[in-house]
Amino acid sequence: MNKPSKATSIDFENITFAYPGSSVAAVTDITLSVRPAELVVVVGPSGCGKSTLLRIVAGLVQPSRGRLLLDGSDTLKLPPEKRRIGWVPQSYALFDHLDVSGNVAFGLRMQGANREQRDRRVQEMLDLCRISQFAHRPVSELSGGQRQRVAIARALATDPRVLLLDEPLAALDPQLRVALRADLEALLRRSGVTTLFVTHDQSEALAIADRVVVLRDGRIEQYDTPERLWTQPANAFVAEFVSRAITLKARCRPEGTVELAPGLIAPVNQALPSDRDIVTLTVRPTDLMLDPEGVAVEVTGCEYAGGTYTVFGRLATGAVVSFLADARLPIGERARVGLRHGTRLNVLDQ
Amino acid sequence: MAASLPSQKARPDPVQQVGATFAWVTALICLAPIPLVVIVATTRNWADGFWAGGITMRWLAEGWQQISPYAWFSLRLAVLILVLDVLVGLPTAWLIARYDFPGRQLLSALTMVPIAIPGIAMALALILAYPAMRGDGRLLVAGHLLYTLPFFVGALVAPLSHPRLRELEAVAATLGAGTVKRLLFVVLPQVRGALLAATIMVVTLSMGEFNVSFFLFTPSLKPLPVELYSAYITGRVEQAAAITLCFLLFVIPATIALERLGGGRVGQA
Repeated sequence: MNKPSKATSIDFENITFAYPGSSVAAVTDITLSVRPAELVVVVGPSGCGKSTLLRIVAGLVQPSRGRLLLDGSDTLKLPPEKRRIGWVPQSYALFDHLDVSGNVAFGLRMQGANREQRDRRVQEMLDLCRISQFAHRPVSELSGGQRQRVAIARALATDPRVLLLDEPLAALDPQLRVALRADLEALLRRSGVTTLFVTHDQSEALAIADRVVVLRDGRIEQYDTPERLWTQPANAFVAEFVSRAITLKARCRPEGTVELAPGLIAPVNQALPSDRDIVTLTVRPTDLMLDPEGVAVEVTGCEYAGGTYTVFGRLATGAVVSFLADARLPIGERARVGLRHGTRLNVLDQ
Repeated sequence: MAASLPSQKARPDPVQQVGATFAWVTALICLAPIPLVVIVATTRNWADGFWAGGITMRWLAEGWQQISPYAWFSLRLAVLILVLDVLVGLPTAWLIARYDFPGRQLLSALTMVPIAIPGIAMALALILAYPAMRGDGRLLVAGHLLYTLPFFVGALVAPLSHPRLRELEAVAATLGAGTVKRLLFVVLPQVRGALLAATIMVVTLSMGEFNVSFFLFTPSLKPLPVELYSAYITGRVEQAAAITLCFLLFVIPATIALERLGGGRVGQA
């Protein structure tokens, strides 16, 4: 497939929107920039405004405040049919009165492409999405993964400036999700189109995104690269949502270290504030490990996490931490934990 | 070596079986009189028993001659009512399905009121309210329109308000389809089944409607069911059976043709 001649940037400026009749805004004061050809994943719990953000870009809802710029031009006044946005809703919304080719060709027909242009472009899209063998099949006879590809091919066929994917993997079973994730990312990279990808699955976001927007209650909690979201979450919500980290208070010590509990000293990933004795940290399950030389914890919970166990233990201070173990630990048992080699804990308050 | 599994037959669903039985029994009860009507209509003298004296086509020929002008009138009336239903009912259904406005529930309820009012009462109300319109047939048209409109609107509101259709329209919009193209290339194909079901309902209801027609017809504008009634109370039983058969032969093919036009999708509406 030919890449779009020029990938498009997206700028949200103070976008606010409330659904009619609702006193609560679905998204509030959203400001973020997406670079041309970037793959940005919007992640957050159900009802946090992820899909609404996509619907605003598509022109399906009109924000009450703010500006939306595509390549620097205000786009909010344009109706959806004039924006050149490819939108793939969670249900895929395939036209069941058309076959696969008919679906992929739909946008080209609407935009007045002639038969020859349509046929050529449809074939390109079918090849790109590897669904050529289903070209004349009714969409009702396709599997979930095939339907997803048809929906993406249909959205890409019109050479959109921006592609919006709303939970494109949610309708698939878990095994297929992981298998198709890398495939989908490769497809998006090949297409070269600026993409906003919505998911509620943080592992999906971290796996494929150039940058991730973490939303909560319609507001941006953090907009950053997957690596920085993991190592430097902006707040307790992001830390807990992205990496299942636990937030703890710790006492500051000299030389950039903190004391989580008597005997449990940890280095941190940034300079400690000079005006405070106590700081807030995020501790991920992968930061701690069973260690015979470590400090004592009382096991309060143990969950199997596929090949390993996530154990919850109470420190002498009363704070609960989590760590990974190779075997199940009985609740109530005492264990000893220490810091994993090379770990530097993230300080939240600066 | 893998042992071959014993073949398993799917166990029939008892609810489905009971439903199918009821459907067939109902259909047979409804269809049972038809063979009797055929026998009476083709018997020379029913008083002597069925097919006494042999089979005859005389009653059918006479019956068709008697009712054909009224049958064509009823057909023209049904087509006119269908056009009016589309012109009035489609925007009404769209309005109720798509817009939230003060009085929406009231409008929705008002479109259904004619179903609850007996045809006689509706006809009398129309005569009392608009006596001047009776002579030229406008009242007859209004009566049929009022009688059929609830069914037409009711058949379309649900599919037009379905969230899936709205999502398909939204996708079509992002693909470059403006309002008219969305209507032509998404909405109409998606509600085709419901639209055909509504069309068949309007045509058959209008062609078979008696109560309203009986009070609003004029000698020059007489629908078929009114003429059938006249034939039943004045003619021979064989002749009545023959014109009943003519009526069925007139209505049933039209219904089947309409359903075939829709690719047999009416049942899916």
